[in-house]
Amino acid sequence: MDNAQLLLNLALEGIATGSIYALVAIGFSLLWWLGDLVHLAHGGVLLASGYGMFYVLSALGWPIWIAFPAGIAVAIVAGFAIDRLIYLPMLARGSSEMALLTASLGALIVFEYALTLLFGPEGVTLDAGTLRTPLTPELLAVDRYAVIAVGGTLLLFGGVTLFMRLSATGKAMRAVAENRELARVLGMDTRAVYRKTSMLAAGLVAPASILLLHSTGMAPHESLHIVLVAAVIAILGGRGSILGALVGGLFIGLVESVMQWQFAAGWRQLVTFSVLYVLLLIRPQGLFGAKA
Amino acid sequence: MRLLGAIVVALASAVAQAQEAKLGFLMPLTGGPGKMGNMMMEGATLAVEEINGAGGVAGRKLVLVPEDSQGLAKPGVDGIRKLMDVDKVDTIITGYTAVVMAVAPIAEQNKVFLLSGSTASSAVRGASPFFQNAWPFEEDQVGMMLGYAKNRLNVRRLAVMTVVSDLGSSLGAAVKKEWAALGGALAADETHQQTEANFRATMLKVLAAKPDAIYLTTSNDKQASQIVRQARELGYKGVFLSFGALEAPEMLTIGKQADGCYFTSAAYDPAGDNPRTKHFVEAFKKRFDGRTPNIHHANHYDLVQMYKVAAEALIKQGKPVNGANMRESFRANLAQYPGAGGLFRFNFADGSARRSVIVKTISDGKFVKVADLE
Repeated sequence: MDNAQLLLNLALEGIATGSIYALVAIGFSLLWWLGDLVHLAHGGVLLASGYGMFYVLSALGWPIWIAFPAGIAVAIVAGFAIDRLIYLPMLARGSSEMALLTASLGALIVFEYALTLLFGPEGVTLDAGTLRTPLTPELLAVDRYAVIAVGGTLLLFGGVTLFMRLSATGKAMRAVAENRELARVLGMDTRAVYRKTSMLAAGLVAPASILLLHSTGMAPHESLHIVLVAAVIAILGGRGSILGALVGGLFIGLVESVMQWQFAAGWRQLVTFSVLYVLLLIRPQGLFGAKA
Repeated sequence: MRLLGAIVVALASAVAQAQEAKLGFLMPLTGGPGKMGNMMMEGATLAVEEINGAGGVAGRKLVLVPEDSQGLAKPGVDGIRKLMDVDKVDTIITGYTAVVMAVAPIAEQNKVFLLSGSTASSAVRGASPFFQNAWPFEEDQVGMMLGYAKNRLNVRRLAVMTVVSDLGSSLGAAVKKEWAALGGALAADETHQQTEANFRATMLKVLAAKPDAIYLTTSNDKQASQIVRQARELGYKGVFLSFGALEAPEMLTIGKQADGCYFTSAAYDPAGDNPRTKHFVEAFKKRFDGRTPNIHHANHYDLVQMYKVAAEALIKQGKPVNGANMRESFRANLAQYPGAGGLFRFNFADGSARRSVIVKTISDGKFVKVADLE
C-alpha cells in the first residue's frame, strides 16, 4: 500500500466511523433542539439497547431480525422511562437546565451500574464475521460492514429529515422547537410532543448500538464517553440541524482517521479537539446552526 | 438487661474481629481491566478458603477485603484510604503501575505493606520499602522475547504499539532499544490511548509498513483482543508479541484470530509436574466449574499463601500482625517461595522479583507453552 492508497483508506475508514458517530449523535441532537435538554442519559439508552440486542442474539440465540427490533424496543422503553420518571416531574416543578443536566447524569450512572450488575463490567462484543472481510485488496477499509454503516446512516438521516418535514408529528416537533410558548397558546399538547421526541430519539440509537456491538463492542463504563462524542458532534453540527449531526459525525470521523496519516493515534483527541476549537471560533453556532 | 445484652454482643464482635486476619485486595474489579482483576480475585479467594478450611492463619480466620481500583490512580487512592481507615487493614494485595505509584507513598507513610502480583513496569522499582512485587518487570524480559522472535519466528520487521501509560511508555522504549540492539528494522512506531477501542485506522497505517510482527504494550486484555481482531479483519497474517497480560480469557473470545500471539510469562505450566501447581490446578477446577487456572490465578493464590507464611511467623513469635512487622517477616521468611506459579525469588533491595521466563502462544483456544527462555 503506497502513501496515496493509505490516505484513501484512512479517509474511507473515517467515513465509516463517522457514520456511526452521526448515528450516536442524532438522538442527542434532537432532544437538545426540541426539548432544550442536554440528554446525558442518551449514552445509557444506547448501551441498554446494545445489551438488549446482545442478550437476544447471544443468550437466546435468536436471529438479528428479532434482535434489532428488540433493541429498538428496549431503547424506546428506556427513553420513555427517563422522560416520565425524571424529566417530566422535574419540569413540572420548574427545575433549571442545570438541575435537569445533573439528573440526566444521574440516570446515566444508574444505567451504567444496572448493566454492570446484570452483565458484568467487562463489556460485550460480537464478531461481524465475513462482513469485515475487505472487498478488494487495495481498499482494505471497504467491507460490507462499512457499506451497511454508511448506507444505513444516509437512509436513516434521509428518513428522519422527511419525517420532520412531511409528517404531522414532525411538523409539531419543529413547531415546538421553534417557539414552545406559541405552540402551547395555539393549543398544541407540547408534553405529548416531548414524549414522542424522547421516544424517537431513543429508538434512533438502535442502529448505532448494533454497529458498535459488531465492531468495538461496548462496556458500561464507556457510557459517558459515548455521550460526549454525541455532544461534541451536536455542537459542531449546530443546534437545530439534522444535517449538522450527519456532517458533524462524518467530519469528526474523518479528522480522527486522516490525522493518522501524519500523526500517531495517541494524538487523535488533541488534533480533533484543536480542529473543533478553530471551527467553533470561525462558526460559533456550529456548521449548520442558526445564529442566535 | 438490654444494655448488658448490647455490651455482650459488642464485646463478642470485638473479640471475633480481633481474631480475624484481614488482607486487603485493591485491584480493578470494574472498568477495562475489571475482568482480569476479578480473575485474580478467584485465585486469592481459593487460597483464603483453603487456609480457613485448614484452621486459618495460626487459628485466626483470614478475611479478604476487596476494593475496586479500576486500575487507575484516583480510585486506587480512594480504595487504600478506605482499606486503612475503615477496614483497618495493614497488608494489601494491589497492582497496576498507575495504582502502585499513587498508593505506595500513602502506604509507606501509614506503614501498610503492599504486595503485588500484577505490576509489570519497572517504574515501580524501589517505589517504597513497603512495596514488594512478585511479578518480574517486563522491560527485563523484552530482550528475551525479541531474541526469540528474531531467531525462532524469523521476524525481521517489527511494529510497536505503545499505549500511553507508565508501563506502555517504558515497555515501548525498551522494545525499540532491544530491537535496535538486535539489528532489526522498526517498520512502524505507533501510540494509542488506554481507552481506545477502534484501532482500524492505526492498523491500516501499521499494515502499510508491512511488519512481520506487532509488539503490543497494553496491559488491558480487552484492548489487546480488539487490536488483534481488527488487524486480522484487515488481513494481517503476521504474529503479535507481548507479555503476560495476554494470558487472559478475553483473548480466547476472538477464536482463531488469536492464533499467532506470542508472549512471555512466568514459568507456570498448569499441565506440569510441580506438586504445588498440581494441587492448585485440581482445587481450582473443583471450585470453579472445571476451568483451568492461568498464571494470574496462580499468582494471586500464591500471594495469599505467602501472607499466611509471614503472618503465622509473627503470631508464633507473639508479635502483632501489622504492616511494619509483616514487611520484616516477609523479608525474613520469604526470600524464595516455591508456589503454584513456580519459584519466586525476591530482591528486597528494590522490591522486585525474579521468576523463570517462558514463551507461550495461543493455539486452538488454549495458552500453550512453546519455549523456556531462562
